[in-house]
Amino acid sequence: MNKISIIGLEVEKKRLISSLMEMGIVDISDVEGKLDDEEWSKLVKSDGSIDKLNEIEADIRKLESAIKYLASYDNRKKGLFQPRIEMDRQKIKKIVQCKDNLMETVSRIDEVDGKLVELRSTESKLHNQIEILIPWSSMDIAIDECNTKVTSVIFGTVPEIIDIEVMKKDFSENLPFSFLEVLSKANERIYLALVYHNFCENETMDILKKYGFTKTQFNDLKGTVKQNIDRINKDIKEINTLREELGLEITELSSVLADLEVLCDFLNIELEKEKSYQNLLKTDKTFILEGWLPRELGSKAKENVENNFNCMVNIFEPEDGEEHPILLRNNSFIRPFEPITELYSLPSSNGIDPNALFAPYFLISIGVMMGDAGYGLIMLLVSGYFIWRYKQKGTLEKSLKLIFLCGAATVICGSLFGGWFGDIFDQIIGRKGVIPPLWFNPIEDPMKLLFWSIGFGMVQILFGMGVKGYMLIRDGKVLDAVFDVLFWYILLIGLCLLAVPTLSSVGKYMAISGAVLLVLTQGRAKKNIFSKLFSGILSLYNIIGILSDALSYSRLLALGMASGVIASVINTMGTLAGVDNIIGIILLIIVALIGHTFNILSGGLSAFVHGARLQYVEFFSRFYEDGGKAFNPLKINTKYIKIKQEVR
Amino acid sequence: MEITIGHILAFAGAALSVILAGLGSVKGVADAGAAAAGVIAEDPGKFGQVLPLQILPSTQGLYGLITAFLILLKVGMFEGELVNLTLNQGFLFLAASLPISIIGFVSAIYQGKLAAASIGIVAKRPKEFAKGMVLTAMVETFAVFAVLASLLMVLFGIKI
Repeated sequence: MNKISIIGLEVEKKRLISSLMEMGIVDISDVEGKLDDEEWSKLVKSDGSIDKLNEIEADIRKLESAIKYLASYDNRKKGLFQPRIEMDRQKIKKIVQCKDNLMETVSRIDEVDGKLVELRSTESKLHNQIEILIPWSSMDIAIDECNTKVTSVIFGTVPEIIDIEVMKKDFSENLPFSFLEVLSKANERIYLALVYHNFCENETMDILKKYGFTKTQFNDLKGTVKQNIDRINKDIKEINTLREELGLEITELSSVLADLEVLCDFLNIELEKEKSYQNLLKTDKTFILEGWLPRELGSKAKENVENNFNCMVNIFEPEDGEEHPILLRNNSFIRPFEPITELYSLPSSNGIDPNALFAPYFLISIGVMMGDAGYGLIMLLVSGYFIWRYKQKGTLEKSLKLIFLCGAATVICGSLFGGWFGDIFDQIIGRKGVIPPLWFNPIEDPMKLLFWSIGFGMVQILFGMGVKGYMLIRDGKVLDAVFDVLFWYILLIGLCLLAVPTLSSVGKYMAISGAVLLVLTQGRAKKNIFSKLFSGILSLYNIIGILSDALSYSRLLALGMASGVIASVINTMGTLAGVDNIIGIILLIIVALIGHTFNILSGGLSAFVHGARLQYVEFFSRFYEDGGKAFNPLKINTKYIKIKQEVR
Repeated sequence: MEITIGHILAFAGAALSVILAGLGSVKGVADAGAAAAGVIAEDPGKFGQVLPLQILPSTQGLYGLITAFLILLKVGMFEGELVNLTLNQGFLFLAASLPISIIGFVSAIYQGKLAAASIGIVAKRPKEFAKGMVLTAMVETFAVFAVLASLLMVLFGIKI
């Protein structure tokens, strides 16, 4: 990474930023810090306007919500991972010129949406009213005109459990001047109308109370119930036509969806530019820009900018120890592993790119944990299909390629261990070892795989320490490399040799001499002779840490075995009905399809998580310096369209 | 063939590993799911991110099932007739089921708590979701070790 600083003319600023954006290689850094310096603050002031930024952001928000709303009316065919439409600048310009019209459309969409919501709520209110009125519909007198001079009509309900005959009898015996009519029964209630003489109002009420009568009020209802229901139905019909009209309007408006998407992308680009202005400093006529760019692109960028603009471009190396943004650069085989490092944290400026270092270990780990050649084939096929069918760029492409590589590793490990969809062929044919393992079957001899897993872990840990040694030597600390890495190598390799019977005496002496050397050197930072010795002895405690890290690799065996055992459980269940009849075969197909899909997904998830964990905890902890900031150049970032590059 | 106390103990071991590890997973997945539902209420688009976190604590239940299956396989349940077991062999099966039963139970509950917290990461910083997943998976290490111990004991510790 090199630093670039450009001093240019204010009038050319917009054009220059646009051209930098097209190049997409400069990460503009914030130079506001310079304003704290008195000398600088006399000369320059910060650039960019917050108002403009907020304005663009507000427009984008409106556009995005309109796009989201219209998406359900979108009738363009869309597949998964739809490639973006390519579009040339002329066309984009034309669309952007009608920005005002488009924004009007957006607010119209918003308005229509608001109306639709309102209509929907009115409609449901009306439906509720009808629900309430329907039980009363057999009442054929106008509700507001049913009272006479001396009689009143009261409407209400009683619970269903009331015996209506008893109630009628009660009324006819006690209040001869009354008439009770049952209108309907619904919702566990009986709907009643009662005509009574005004003189006997109190007595009437007393009797009604006995039966748990609830009065129903019809507020300002005019005319008969039937008439009212008809009126409301008419209203609903009107609302429906209105809604249809509005729906048609939206469908019509949705034809501008493509234009809205273009405008949204354009505004996002403008937003990025506006944001980059915030990082500049300016005087009345000039501006200053500072940023980072990859070293080998420096001269090209300088030439490009100086030829097209009146400005001064300086490119210089960063100062010693100055933190710069990080851009990982690897060949196409290692690149898919970059997301794993990015998940953890990018290396610091002084650190080392770990991708190529852990890639083979990661692949082997995944292969052993999945441990099934059939599963590997499926991973290969699925990811291969997606890579071939949808030519994606960026993280998605890397992830697919990672799955592809892991699939290949799984096929290799699976055939070494003899797992093909568990033991499905053994189960179908009915004898053991139809496809014999190329190496050995871990379910029959797990101790062997446990030994190899831990050995593999030990190798990776030693390798990590070696990387640490390389970094120390690179920084000119050769002695530290000898003390902290070589002596540990002697001790650890000695300890490992102890396990080999023929070499155990060599191992013993190596381990002892390594331990002595460590005790003598590990306390070198301390001043006092006793604390030197003490921290030297204490450092031997790290053996436990290293060995437990190596033991942690036993998860390779555990997960590999779990995946294998689950696979054979699935196969056992699938072949329960035998494989010599049609039902048995259908059962086997169904169970195998569902079961193995589940096992691939859940096994893949835990294999990935544990594989990544082995790199982070067991490997990175040996040497990795993290905390880098990602290189984030000013570039054209679009969501919906792809801008066609002009041929120059 | 006569059913002995050895058989009963072996079956109890198989049952225990499914029940306890499963109970832990139930609690863990439910806790994580409750947190996930809260995130989805705010932003339904995050479903794809919270789902892997929610299912992480379910592996313990799966490990319990594997252990149970191996015990049942070993006592010959799938071959039609149970093999003869002594009382001591029965106890061995029961003991072999203990690591995944107990560690599975406890680790799934704690993993569920961590998964819920990591779902909080997704709510605030969706880009850091994978880090939450790695943190959550750290707890599972011990369930992996426990199932390893149980499997080794069942497969090789008990000679029939």
